[in-house]
Amino acid sequence: MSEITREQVEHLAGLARIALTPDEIDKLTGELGHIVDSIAKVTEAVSADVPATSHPIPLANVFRDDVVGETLTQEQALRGAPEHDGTRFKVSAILGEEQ
Amino acid sequence: MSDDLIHLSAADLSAKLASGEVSAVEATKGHLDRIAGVDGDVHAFLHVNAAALETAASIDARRAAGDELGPLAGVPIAIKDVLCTIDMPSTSGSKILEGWVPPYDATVVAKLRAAGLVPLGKTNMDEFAMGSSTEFSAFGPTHNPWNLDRIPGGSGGGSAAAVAAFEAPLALGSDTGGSIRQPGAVTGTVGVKPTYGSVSRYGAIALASSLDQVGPVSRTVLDAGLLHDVIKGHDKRDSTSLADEWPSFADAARRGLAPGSLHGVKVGIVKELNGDGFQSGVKQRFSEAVALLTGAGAEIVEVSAPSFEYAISAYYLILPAEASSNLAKFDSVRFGLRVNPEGAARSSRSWRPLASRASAPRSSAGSSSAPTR
Repeated sequence: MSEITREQVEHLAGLARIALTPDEIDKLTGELGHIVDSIAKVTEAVSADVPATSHPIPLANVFRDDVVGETLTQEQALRGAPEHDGTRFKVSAILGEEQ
Repeated sequence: MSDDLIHLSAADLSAKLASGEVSAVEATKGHLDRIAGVDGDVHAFLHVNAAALETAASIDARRAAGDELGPLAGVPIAIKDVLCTIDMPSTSGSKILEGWVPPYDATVVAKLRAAGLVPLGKTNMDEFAMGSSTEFSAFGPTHNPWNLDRIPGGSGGGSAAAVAAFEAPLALGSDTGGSIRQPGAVTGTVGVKPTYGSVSRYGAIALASSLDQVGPVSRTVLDAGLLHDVIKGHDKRDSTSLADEWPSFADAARRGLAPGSLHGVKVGIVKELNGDGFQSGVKQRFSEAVALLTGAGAEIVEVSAPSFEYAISAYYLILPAEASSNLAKFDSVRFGLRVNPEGAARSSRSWRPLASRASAPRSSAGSSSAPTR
C-alpha cells in the first residue's frame, strides 16, 4: 500500500484551494493511495524490450508559419470573463496579500 | 404524426425530409414536444435550443430553393454539454461554467451546422466528463428512460438517454474511458468511440487530451455511420488530428445489411475479457451476439491482449495527470466562478470551488467527486 497521509492530502487541498471536510480527507487519502498504487502495477509491465510510448497514434509535431490567423476580437475574448476593464481580464490579487 | 416522426431512425427521417413528405420544422417540433413531455422525468437536457425551429425553417427554405443539402440536413440532434456552442451555454456539467456561452463553436458543432443538422440543445453529463453514471452532474442526475430508477451510464448519460427516450434521433458524445460506449450499452443505443485523431477535439472541453474523442450516439448502426461521416476529418485547429482519409462508415453499414455480408470477416474475441464480474445475463447476451455474427458468416477467433491487465492502472495514472492539467484553466482568472467563502483562513485569495462544491448540498456520506480528487 502507498504511504499517502491525511496531512499530505490537507496540504494538497490547500495548494489547490479546495476546502475539504474531514470525511472527504479520509476518503481522498484512500483514493489518492490507490492512484499511487497504480504506478507500482504499471511498473510491473515495464521491461527493457518495451520502448517508451507516449501514444500509439503516429503523430508528429505540427508547425505553421508565425502569421496571424483567424482570431477572436477583444470583445469576443472578454465576453465570458467574470470581470474585465474593457480591454483586459481583471483577476484577484495574488501578491502582497496579508499572511 | 409527430409521434411517428420521433420513432424514425435518422436515415429514414432524412429520406422523408428529402422527398418532402416531412419538413425540418415538423421533425424539430415533434422532438421539442417530446422533450417537453418526458424530459422532466429523464433530465437528459441541460439546455433546450430556443432557436431550433428557426434553424429548421431555414433548412426547409434552402431545400425549397433547391440548395444542395447533405444527407442529414433537417435532422435534429442533441449535443453533449462538453462541446462548445456559440449560441448556447456550455458547462461540461459544472457550476464553475454555469451560464458560460463560448465565443466559438467546436469544430464538430460547426460541421453539424454546415451539414444542416438542427441542434435541439445540450445534454447532461458527469461534471467535466468524470464519471460513469451521470449522477455527478452539478445540475442533477439523468435517469435511464427504460427505468427511471436506474442510471443511464456516463459520463454522456444525457446524450444516450435523449436518444433512447426518442427526444432526439442522434446525439454527439465524447469518450475518454467509455463515456460514449458505456451509456450506449446501458441505454440500448449505439455509441461509438471513433479512432483517436479521426474527429476534431477543437472546442471539446478537455478531460484527458490524449484519450478524448468525440463520437456519434444513435439508435441504429447506419445512423452512427451517417453522423460519423459528418463529423470526421482533419482539422488544422487540433494538432492531434490525423490527415488520413476515412472511408464512409454509412456505406459500410449499408453493405452490412446484405445477407451473408460478413463472409470472409474475422472477428476476434479477447479472452482476457472473459473474467469474473459480469452481472447475470450479460455473458448470455454476449454469446447471442457472437452467434448472430457467426450466422451472418463471420469467422470467430480467440485473441489475447495480455496487457489488458494493466489498462485500468494505466488509466488511473494518465487520466488524473491530464485532467488536473486541463482543469487548471478553471482557475477563476479567465473562466470560472469566484468565491470568497467565510472563514477562508489561509489567505485572502479566492478559494476555487469545484462545481460539486459550489452546487447544492453534498451528501453526508462525504462522497468526494472525481474532479475534486
